Amino acid sequence: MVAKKDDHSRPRIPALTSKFLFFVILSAFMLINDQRNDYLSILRNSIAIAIYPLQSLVEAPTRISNWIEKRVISREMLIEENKNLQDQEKINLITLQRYASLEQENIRLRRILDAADRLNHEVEIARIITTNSNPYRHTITINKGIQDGVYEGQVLLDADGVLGQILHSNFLTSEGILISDADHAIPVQINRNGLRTIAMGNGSFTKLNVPYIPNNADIEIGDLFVTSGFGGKFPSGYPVAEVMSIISDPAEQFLTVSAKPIAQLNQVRELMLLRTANNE
Amino acid sequence: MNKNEQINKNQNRIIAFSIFAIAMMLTIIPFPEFIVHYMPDWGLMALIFLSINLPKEFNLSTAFFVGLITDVIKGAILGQHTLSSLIIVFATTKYHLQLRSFTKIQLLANILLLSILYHFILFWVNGVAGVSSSLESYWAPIIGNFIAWPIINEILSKYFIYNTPKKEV
Repeated sequence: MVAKKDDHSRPRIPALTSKFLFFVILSAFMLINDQRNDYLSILRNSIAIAIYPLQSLVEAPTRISNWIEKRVISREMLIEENKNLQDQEKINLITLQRYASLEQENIRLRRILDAADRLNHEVEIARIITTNSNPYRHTITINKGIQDGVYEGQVLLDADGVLGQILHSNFLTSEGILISDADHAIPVQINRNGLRTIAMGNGSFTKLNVPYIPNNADIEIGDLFVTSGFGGKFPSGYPVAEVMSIISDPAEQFLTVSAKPIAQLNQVRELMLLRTANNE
Repeated sequence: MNKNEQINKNQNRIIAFSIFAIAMMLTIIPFPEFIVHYMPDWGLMALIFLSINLPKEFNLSTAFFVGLITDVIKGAILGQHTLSSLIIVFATTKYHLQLRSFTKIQLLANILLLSILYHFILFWVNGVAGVSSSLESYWAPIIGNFIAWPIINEILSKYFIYNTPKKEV
């Protein structure tokens, strides 16, 4: 008898191998082009939009608990907090007055020096939606995207210092890289004497490596690294890290310096996007 | 195809879609740092289960999309998880009959081998592209997969209506 091609006795999947080859070639094409060209970002964007509902669903419990917390806090506590904040604001205002006059003076002096540095950058508040689940890659996803004017390379700050920069901006969300990521380096200088160097991330939230400081350089524990403005990505003058330890080995050409990031890299939920003038 | 089978198929589609949605959500959730490496590859687990049990409905194109979404969630190079998912699902789809006939222990051993292959491909692509990652992030999920598979298999098996052919006498 001729064996009947029975669908049930042996469920074959039609054209499996050719389908496999097609998809493998497609993914190989993506692998080759993702890092070199820009046109795959459309694909990345559209998938990011498609998974946005899932992301907000994952984030919902934290948001709900925050919301409940806000409403459950007692009246007395609010009054107390309000009083404290008002006191704090008065103190801040007094300090600010001094800063305003100093800033004016600074602008005047800069005009004399003919420097075109802008002191007041616009900032925009954004919220972190998710952090990368791989602790070695310090990337975060924030809730602002191209729609809100976020661009690649935009600087991220928290209240204390530099957090990182934008890696990809999608339509509704963007991906940012922190200064502590192992693939990230930031040009800095010592605030005290202007010594320029580069601070590199190493995958730890509490430590940056500063590998290129010569043995005879003037550096002390507690020195503050601020952005130097070289490299064109980060505007100058924002605090980055504080020197934590210096190990000097006469056999080596460079000091082994590690610095503690000023920004609360693994604790922030809200961050600020800095808008520099030349990128608008 | 009779009416009942059609209903079963639609039901399975809905269940499968929610399985993938849950798997992707589990991928997004930030877990505490001490355990995050050991989280199984949820998308891969769902793909393996579905491609063994319903290979006609869920095979390579599903693997392609799930892999692509995983790439975007993990911020990896586009195509990295796609390629490794494709290769795993190709194997599970092609040999789904053998895999179905295995005992639970044999199947678990196969899952272990497949997840080693999966992470080897990820490792290899990272190496070629010059992306650095800790060594732990390659071997730890394999342990996670090994522990999670029996649980995932038990839970998912309960919710499926199989179209497996009845043996005609």
